[in-house]
Amino acid sequence: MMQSPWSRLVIAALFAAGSVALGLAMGERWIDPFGSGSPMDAVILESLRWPRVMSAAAVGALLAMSGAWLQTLVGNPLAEPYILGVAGSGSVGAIIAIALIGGAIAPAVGAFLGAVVGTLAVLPFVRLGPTRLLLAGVVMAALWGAMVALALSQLGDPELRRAVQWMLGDLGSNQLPNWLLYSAGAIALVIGIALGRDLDRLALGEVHAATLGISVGWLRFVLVLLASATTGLAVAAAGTVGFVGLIVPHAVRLLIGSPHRFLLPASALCGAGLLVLADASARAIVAPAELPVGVMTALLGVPTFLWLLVRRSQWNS
Amino acid sequence: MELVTHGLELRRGEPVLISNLEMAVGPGEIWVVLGPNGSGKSTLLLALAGVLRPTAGEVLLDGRRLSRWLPAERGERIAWQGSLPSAEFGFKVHERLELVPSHTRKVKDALERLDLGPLAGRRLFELSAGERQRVELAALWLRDAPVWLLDEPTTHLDLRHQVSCLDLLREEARNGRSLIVVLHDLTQAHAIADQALLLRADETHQAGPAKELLRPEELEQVFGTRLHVAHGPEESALLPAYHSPDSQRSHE
Repeated sequence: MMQSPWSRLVIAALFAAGSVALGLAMGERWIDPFGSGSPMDAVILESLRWPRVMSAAAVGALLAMSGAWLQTLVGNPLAEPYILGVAGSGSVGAIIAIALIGGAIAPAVGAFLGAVVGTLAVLPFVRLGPTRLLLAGVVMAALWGAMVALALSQLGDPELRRAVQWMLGDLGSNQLPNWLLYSAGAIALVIGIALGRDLDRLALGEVHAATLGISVGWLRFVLVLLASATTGLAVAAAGTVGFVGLIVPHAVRLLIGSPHRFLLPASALCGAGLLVLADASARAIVAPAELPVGVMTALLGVPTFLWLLVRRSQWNS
Repeated sequence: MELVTHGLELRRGEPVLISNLEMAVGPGEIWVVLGPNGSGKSTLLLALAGVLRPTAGEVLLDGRRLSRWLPAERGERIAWQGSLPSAEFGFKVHERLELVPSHTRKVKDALERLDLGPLAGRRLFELSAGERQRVELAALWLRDAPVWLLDEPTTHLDLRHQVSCLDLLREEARNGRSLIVVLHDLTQAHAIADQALLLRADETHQAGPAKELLRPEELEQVFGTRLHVAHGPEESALLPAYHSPDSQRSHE
């Protein structure tokens, strides 16, 4: 053992902290977060950048953990909420809630319920094996896409604007309090780590887990709850931000370790760092305008995903 | 600890694989299960492991129905080795071994026993199929479970490791463990079996002492192919008659 996973976990924490510092500094103007700048800089840091960076970190952590859980659930390391259509169903729920309920909290409630429905819709396909499950996910995602289009076509003006803005994936308009995201994320993380050994066994395959004495059905149910809750919250806070949930757990397995007691906290830290950096770039590249953060993660994620596909086919041959 | 079946019936979909199976596996016994493809060998092991519910009859562990045991209790008493586990998630060899429930044996000793020492820190997907098979045997060896179910334990193994795998099974049986082993190699079956269960392609079967059942007449009928007895200086072996004009009769 050259380096223990624990020390690599510390490096992940340093990456997250460094990203937060960089996220605070980057933007239309470079501001040294540790320096004593003008009162104006202090206000920008405190009331604009800090809440936004903290939202980005929370959403990144939630998405990365959700990805790790969904990958274990479906037995495929190339799964993520977005690919299985769970984020899409969250969007449908959010739009319906915007239309029917209104109010600031509506998208959050709708996205959460939508994510649960989306996960349940994919669940019957889990036992068909990875390839067919992914195909089922792609088809479900297309269905949710159609439902999104249908729901949008029925909306009037103020709601439509709000729904479209929400769907573009914008961390600036997060209506959920950060404390909610962090406490939900922390609870999910603690449950996830407590179940870590059982999740590791499930990753060996269902029959292996069952013969090791795991109640596979129950564990799956808990995973569905954890993944839906975290995805639902992330989607509610920031719209649909893809690929964080795919790349981060995958990279963590390669660089830090596969057992869930390392995978989950490291994914949370690296997901937080990655989305903070993506959001900071989205704000800085075309400042004073902004790119949707979902575009940034897609630009980063698509090449990484394709690289993973090629790499994995080399492993298998 | 004793594993007993009463009137066990297993199906795959509608077709019946095994019907009315009565067997009682006592401590220190090695049962070898033989039969053609699709005769229900692996399905039987999963039913005996308690992860597959029989369509009729029951499996009793120490007189108590298997479904009455808590999954965790069952997992501590019955160990199963079967198809290789997923290597997709990048677990390392020692990490995979540490997932075994309640064990008093040491991971280090398991690695040594199965000749895996230098591979401890490697990821499963970096290993060959034979090496991964040995990792599974090491995971089994670690376990204190009184009942071991093995589904083709010598698959993928080279000759030397096939021999040491069979040695290991005999040694564990002498320690009082009950073993139920699915095999395809008749010579290997001969080398370790106390009792034999022959599953036929239809739903019938024969169970009894290995001496009586592992004979050419019985096995030719089960597998639908001709067999030769090859007499060596120390032991004799049952070989399929590859060159005999009759060897293709099952295809006609």
